[in-house]
Amino acid sequence: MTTKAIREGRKPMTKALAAKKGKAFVMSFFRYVLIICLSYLILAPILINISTAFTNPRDLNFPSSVWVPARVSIENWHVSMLMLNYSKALPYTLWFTAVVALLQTVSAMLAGYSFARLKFPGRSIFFALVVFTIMVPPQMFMLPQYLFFKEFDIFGIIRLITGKPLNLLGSSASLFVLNALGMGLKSGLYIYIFRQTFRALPHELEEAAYIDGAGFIRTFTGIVLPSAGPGILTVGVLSYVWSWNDAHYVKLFDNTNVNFLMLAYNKATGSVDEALSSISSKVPVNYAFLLKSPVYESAIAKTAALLVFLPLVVLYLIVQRKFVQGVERSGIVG
Amino acid sequence: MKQDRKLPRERKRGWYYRLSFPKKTALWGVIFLLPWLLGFFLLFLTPMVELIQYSFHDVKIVPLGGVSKTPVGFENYRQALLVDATFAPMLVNTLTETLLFTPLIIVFSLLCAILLNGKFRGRTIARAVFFIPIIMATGLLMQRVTNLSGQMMGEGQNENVYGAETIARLIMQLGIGRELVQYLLDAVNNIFKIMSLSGIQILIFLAALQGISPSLYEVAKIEGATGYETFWKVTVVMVSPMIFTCTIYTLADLFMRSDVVEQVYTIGFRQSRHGMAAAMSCVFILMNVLVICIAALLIRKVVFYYDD
Repeated sequence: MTTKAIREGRKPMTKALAAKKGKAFVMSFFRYVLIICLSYLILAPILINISTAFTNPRDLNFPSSVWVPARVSIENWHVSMLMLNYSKALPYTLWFTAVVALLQTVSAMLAGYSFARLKFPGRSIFFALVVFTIMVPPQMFMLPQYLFFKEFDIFGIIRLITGKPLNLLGSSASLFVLNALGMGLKSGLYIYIFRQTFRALPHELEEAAYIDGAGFIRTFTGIVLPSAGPGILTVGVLSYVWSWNDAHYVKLFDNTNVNFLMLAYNKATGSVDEALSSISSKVPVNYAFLLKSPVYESAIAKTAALLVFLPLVVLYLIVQRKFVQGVERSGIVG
Repeated sequence: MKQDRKLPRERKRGWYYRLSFPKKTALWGVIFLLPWLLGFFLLFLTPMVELIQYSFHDVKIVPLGGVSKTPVGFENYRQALLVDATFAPMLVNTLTETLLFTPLIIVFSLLCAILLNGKFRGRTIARAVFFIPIIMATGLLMQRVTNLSGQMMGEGQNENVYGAETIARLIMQLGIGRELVQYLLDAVNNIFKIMSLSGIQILIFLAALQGISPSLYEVAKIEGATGYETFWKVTVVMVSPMIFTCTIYTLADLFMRSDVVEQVYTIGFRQSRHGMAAAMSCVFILMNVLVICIAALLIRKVVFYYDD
């Protein structure tokens, strides 16, 4: 047997090899079991919500209608979309979040590069302050920041020109300013990631650029940024996703912005009852009897949650392969 | 002669070209940092100072704009820590919960990263699934999509998301006590909580594992190390800087999700007791910074840096 195996160019099946193979099999078996269990833990709530969302409103209480809806219907989706004003809110939120994420990424990128490569006195102290900003929950500064945007002014410049400070409350400009100045949600973390990314790049590229006479901006945009692609992708995706989900800053500074999905969602699900009755004229007549039922309201709330969440899933599925690779290569580890 | 002719032209090109390279670097360093510096002074440092001021005053918002302050000394702090019935227990609760969950999250995310590391069939899908909690990480969406805690046993409508309740009923019929079942359900809840909080940490650990040079494992193999020894003496040691980073991130993240934050909002904006809210914020921030600094100092001692 052994000789035959050797003749055919295979490794002979010795006892040690068999043991090794068995061990490898057991290990990979356990790996799959754990991965599947944990994936179930993550996916189950989402899947069950999807199933509820597709259930015909009349079947919501049916005990037989678990996981697979007894009668499939898109009625819940229709009502939830009306409730969130989805056709208007979705494009607006896509655009708004993109601007916020862009501003946040750029400001974090500049600061990160400064901390990684450009030595100046006091740099380490400022970096310690960046870490400090990560530690303080943004909710703590609500009142001072609120007042700041109510009388927005940078060192008295605007007062000098127009005679009175700007009131940025209730406009998206407040959020743009916040993120452009690197103080948005989790900006400190992004600065940290960018610092690690830029530090992991080889010095030689930049040195060569300087010797060839490129200035600092040219080196940054022409040499550093193209090689830091994975890091930029990582931060861009995180920033987009978290800005999308952030209700705190928008609620505080731009409360009337009903077109921001997360805010619309919070308002609608705060009292599904009211939200439903306000659109009741548009709800199909034959479901009117459901309007006061708590099961129906919870199904609508779940569908609304999915509506807010789904665009992110689509986005994530588009970038996920690059995102995961990017994390590996971005040198977050440094 | 040539030198002489060149000099005046150089002077015309301005002061910037006469700076030495390190000086230019420093200048550009400050320029690149300018947006952040501006933001830091206007939107972080000033609010911080104002917050500390508020905490020693009775603050009222004036309808026409601005605030009126009447100094009250340490009254707000006394109210927050000694009189308010909910704040002190909440603080202690946050602290214990954070200290309990942080090690669990770190260990869990390291194990997940090891699971996901390496080549196996379907790893792209597995990774995509494991990072879904990052998408849901902030905001209220998470609670709505899962809506799990407290719903399995008793209160609210039972959702039975994981089928855990069916199993729980089965175990109870077997004659095993309610406490054990409750414990099992809590464990499921807690695993879910840990899972949903460890997205970024898994990401960081996975990146760290990818960064370990294979030659280290080769050496360990040649020297005859067992898998167990390799794990503790190569893997853990090499990712230890990331344990440091992750611990700090996890602590900050957990503090941010604390009930105290919600409480401060309620007291400040709903009840208009801004001085009191400011005092609570100051105490909370102080606690955060102290805990994180202590943790950082403790972990710094055991972290191994390959380059040093």
